[in-house]
Amino acid sequence: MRARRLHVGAVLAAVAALTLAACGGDDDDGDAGEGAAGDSDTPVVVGTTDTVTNIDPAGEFDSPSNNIVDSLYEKLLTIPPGGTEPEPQAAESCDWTDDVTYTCTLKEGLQFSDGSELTAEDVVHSFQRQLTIQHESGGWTLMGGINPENGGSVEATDDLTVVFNLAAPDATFPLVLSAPNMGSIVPSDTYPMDALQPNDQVIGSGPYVIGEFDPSQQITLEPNENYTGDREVNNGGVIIQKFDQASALKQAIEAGDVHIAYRSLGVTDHADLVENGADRGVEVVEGDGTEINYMVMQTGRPPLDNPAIRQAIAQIIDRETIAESIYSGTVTPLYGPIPDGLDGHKPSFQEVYGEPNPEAAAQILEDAGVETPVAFTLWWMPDRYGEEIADMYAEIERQLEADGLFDVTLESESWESYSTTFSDGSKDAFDLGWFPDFPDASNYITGFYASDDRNFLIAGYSNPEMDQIIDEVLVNPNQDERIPLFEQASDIVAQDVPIVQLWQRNQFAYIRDGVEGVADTLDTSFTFRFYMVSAAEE
Amino acid sequence: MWWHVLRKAGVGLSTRTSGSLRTYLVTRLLLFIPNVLVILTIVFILMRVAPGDPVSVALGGQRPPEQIAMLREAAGYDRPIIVQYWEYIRGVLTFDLGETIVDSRDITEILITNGGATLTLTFAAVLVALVIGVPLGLVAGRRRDTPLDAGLRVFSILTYAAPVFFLGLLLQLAFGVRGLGWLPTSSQANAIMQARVSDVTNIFLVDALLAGDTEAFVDGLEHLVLPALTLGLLLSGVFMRIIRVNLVQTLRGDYVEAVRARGVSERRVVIHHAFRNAMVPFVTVLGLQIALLLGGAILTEQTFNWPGIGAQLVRYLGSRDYVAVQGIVTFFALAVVTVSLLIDIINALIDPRVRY
Repeated sequence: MRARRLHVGAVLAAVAALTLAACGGDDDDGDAGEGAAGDSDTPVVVGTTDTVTNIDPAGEFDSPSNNIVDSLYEKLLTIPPGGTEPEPQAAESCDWTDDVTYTCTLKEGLQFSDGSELTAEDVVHSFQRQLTIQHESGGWTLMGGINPENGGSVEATDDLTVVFNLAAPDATFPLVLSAPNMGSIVPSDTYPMDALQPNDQVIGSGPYVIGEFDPSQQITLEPNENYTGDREVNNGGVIIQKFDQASALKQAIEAGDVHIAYRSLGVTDHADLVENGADRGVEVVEGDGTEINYMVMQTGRPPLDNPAIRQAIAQIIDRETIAESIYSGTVTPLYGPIPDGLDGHKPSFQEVYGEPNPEAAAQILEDAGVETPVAFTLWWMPDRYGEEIADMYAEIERQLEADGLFDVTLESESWESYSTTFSDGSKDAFDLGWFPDFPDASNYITGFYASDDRNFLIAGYSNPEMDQIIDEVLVNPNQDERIPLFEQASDIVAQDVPIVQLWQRNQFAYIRDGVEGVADTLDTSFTFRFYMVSAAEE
Repeated sequence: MWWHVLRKAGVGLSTRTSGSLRTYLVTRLLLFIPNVLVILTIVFILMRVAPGDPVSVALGGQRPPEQIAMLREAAGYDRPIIVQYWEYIRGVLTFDLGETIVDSRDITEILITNGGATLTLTFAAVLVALVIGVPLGLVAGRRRDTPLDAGLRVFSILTYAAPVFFLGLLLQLAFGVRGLGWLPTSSQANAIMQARVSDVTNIFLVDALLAGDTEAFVDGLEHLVLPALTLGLLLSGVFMRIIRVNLVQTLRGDYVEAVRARGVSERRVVIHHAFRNAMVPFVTVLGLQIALLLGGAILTEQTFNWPGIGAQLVRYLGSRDYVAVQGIVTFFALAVVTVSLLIDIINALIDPRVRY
């Protein structure tokens, strides 16, 4: 009898629980500090699905590692929140003394977290070890100008002065100094010249020091008591909690287990939080992002060597539909080679082609004497740029074939082999994405449209006018003079159509009530500045 | 001393601790060695069935070819297969399972760091399974062929057949923030608690106790409830069925009839006589479930973002880091073989029929 009662009770309890769950329930979590301001002593918990690889700047070139490196070390220059131009950080001043000589003077009194003094020798050591280690992550390749193998050098002329002698003029060099993975300053007496520093023994001069380092679970940043820089820390430390599943991260931000969820939730999870997040104490914060996705045309051979065919493709593709129906508004249509948010952005494709128009595309092909349908193979990767890519290319196929002008064959390949074959000329057209190395328009032009070995696509495109523009923007430090050149480059791309840009993606963060400062850090630098955010005291 | 304890418990222990038992134990221990070798060989072969070598598969497309070649050479994949096999066996015997390819982490360290979480989960799941499965099995066996028995058998099938991640998601829905909001649904502790408690044993609950942090300990228990319930329910169905079958058979036994004939109450017949003997085969089954337990733990850890070895296995599978996968699978295989050995020994000690 007792066992029976126990059994029935258990069943009833289970049924009741499931019934209540099915009816749903508003999140009645007591939002700690709802409406309250952020507290400077409260640690901030940031949930993420990103994996940190390395926090020695010489050993990383990925966004999640960059965010931590930026918090642990000072650099000579930095991109300020919301800006695109480098400003002094550890340096008092930096300037060109001639076309190939860049001189920086350090601020006085800087020190590392262990109390040792930060001098020009540490700066020199930091750059030299990058070029010595030559880590496979590849950040050092952007320092070619100071590489001794190319005739460049970096030297300390006194305790506070660093001189960079470039092998050739490079207007983007200050941006290299401002990138966390390239410009971070490490102590010369601790970090070996030819090997990476263990992640649990890193020492920097930034606003934080490393506490626990377990990238599979949790990384903790504690305020640096010996910090001598100018960044104002708005929290009592940072706990970066790793989640293997985006769904678990979503549950965590809804439950208040984390203060901030940053990178990455899926499109449907994002849409759900946009619509229902407020009811659960979650606010969706959107910021500028410069990640792009694009379609490359093999211009060196048939069938896409004919500019009219490429222009017809550009005339048909409906980016708005892709952005809304496939990505639920989490991406923005991109109509030019340079994303919005960077100087030099111009929606040149929109200016040239206007709205998607199959009739106009048919006219372009007819005027060029092209027989339709034009058959070509279009390649994409299922394992690199999110699960929505498959749907996007299915939609592109539909758009191109809708009026009988094109016969598209979709092919997919995993990144492992795609990465070695996309530049061998075998693919008629193929998809790729791009995160910038630094927030400058040249980073979206040089590697894509140059006709020499700077072009990593090797898809047969060559335009002397474009080459001239690239050479000019790389050596001219005057931004006012560079912007018209970038716009001119955008016009050329819209006419030649070697690439059709599809979208750019903004950054999103999901925050609990009482969290402040996140919106200010989401900008085109792609650096999440932990020191700027705060959470309400619980 | 412990022989006498078991005798007093009336668990059919033979007093003849003779050479036959000794022979059995020695033979089983000796057989453990070839068992392990066979398992390790199978793991080694499976990891090399796929074309290419682990370095190229994990890093292909991410590194220049010359770097891939260097890494292959450093990892020994350019050596003859028999040399690789010997180095693999030697590594296992010296607890050196190598380094992961994608992030250069020591695999033994991964097992130590994350093993505590898996141990906590599996231990708690077994407790849940025992608490749920054994009493229900007793009830079902005692009430054989009644509607109650039928209902419990359906329950056992459902818990066993339901995919563990599905069960986990249901529990998250019911008890998490979107449902009743009673329990946390991911991680093994609140992030701040986790940061507060220093890793000593890598078992969070133990470390919280060592630190005297009651709040963190309670928080850890709260986080453990749903994952343990998920995995435990999976096992409880198996336990319930086995207890039920064993009890039914035992209750039909002649000696049980004899006990009844002596006027012993039915309650005492079931609990003091039939149940104890019904538990003997259960011990064997308990050990055999270790494989089910570990497999279920992998999925449970994924569902609940539980930082165990299973979660690491999935992560490295996704990265195609077959060195890491090999190391973790080796550990799991050795765990299953070792537990099986221990169960065989215990079984031999308590069941005189188990002899060579």
